[in-house]
Amino acid sequence: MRVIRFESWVGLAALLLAPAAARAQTYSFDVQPKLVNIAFESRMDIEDIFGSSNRIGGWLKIRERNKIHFKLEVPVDSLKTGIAMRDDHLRSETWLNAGKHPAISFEGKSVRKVGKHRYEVKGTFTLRGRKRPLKLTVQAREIPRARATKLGLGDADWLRVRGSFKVKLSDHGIRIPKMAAAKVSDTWTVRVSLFAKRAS
Amino acid sequence: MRRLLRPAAVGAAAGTVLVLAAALAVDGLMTTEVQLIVPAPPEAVALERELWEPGQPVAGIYGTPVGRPARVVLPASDRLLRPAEDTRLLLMKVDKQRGENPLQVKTVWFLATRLAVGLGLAAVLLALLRAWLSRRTSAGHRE
Repeated sequence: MRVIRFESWVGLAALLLAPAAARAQTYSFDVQPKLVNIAFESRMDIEDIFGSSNRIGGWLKIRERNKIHFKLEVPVDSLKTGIAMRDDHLRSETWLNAGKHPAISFEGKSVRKVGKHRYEVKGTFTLRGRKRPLKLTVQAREIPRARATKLGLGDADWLRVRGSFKVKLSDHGIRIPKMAAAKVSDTWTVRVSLFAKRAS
Repeated sequence: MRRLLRPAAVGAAAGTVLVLAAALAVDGLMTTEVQLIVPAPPEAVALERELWEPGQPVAGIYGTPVGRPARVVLPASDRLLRPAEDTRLLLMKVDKQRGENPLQVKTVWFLATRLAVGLGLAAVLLALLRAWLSRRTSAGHRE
């Protein structure tokens, strides 16, 4: 998969700048669906298709300065485009093959600060079982426990992460049928807005 | 049958004009330019508003923006949102999890142009068929 660009916010700044923690910190992305907002879109002259998901699983572990490991997973059956028949097609073997590959994932170990609240993240993006390197710039922000409590998130440290990136379907072995070629773009834009809660 | 060809051709030609005129009217009179967003629930919006700082994108408070601004036909007023943080923005909430699909003017033009081309071709073919039949009939009479 070729990633063209990714922008977002993640509050990792404080974490990266802070002295190395004595023990690993783990954040879980498996939070309430209302705090998960994932949008994907295909734009063509004839038709724009877009959809969403509010389910994600995964974690982010910070072992010591700059040593971060993360994994995110989105269930394919959570992707909705607004038309039930189109969702069925999306899950079919021709497209995402949800039966064989039920999740889309992004996993990596490289996070580098590139600006205020901005981080370059590198990892492996897996769609339909095909892995491709993905490099993106995310924006992140830490929500310390005191503020999180005040905001009603609960008694824990939180992270908010936002970003977008592009996914090329053909890089993942998806061949758009001729009948759909004029209406479905090979390149999809994905935008995410996530929260992660500190688990340990 | 020949007698029917003329009104059919005229009807198809008129249909072409009507379809394009209707699309033009829909485009000009019934559309609103909005930024489509996948909406965040009220609890998340309240949270994002607290976290928002001036200079940051406003649409992100209310959900995840999708693409460029789009022109939507007769958007439901309860799905429109003008953020207090930037009153120039007009957002439209589209919840795909609930099967919402607002009609974009792009789709109207897509359908209208194809229908107009189809009707236009039908008008030409019917007119040609009528001319050919007339010529054949008059040639038959001369013989």
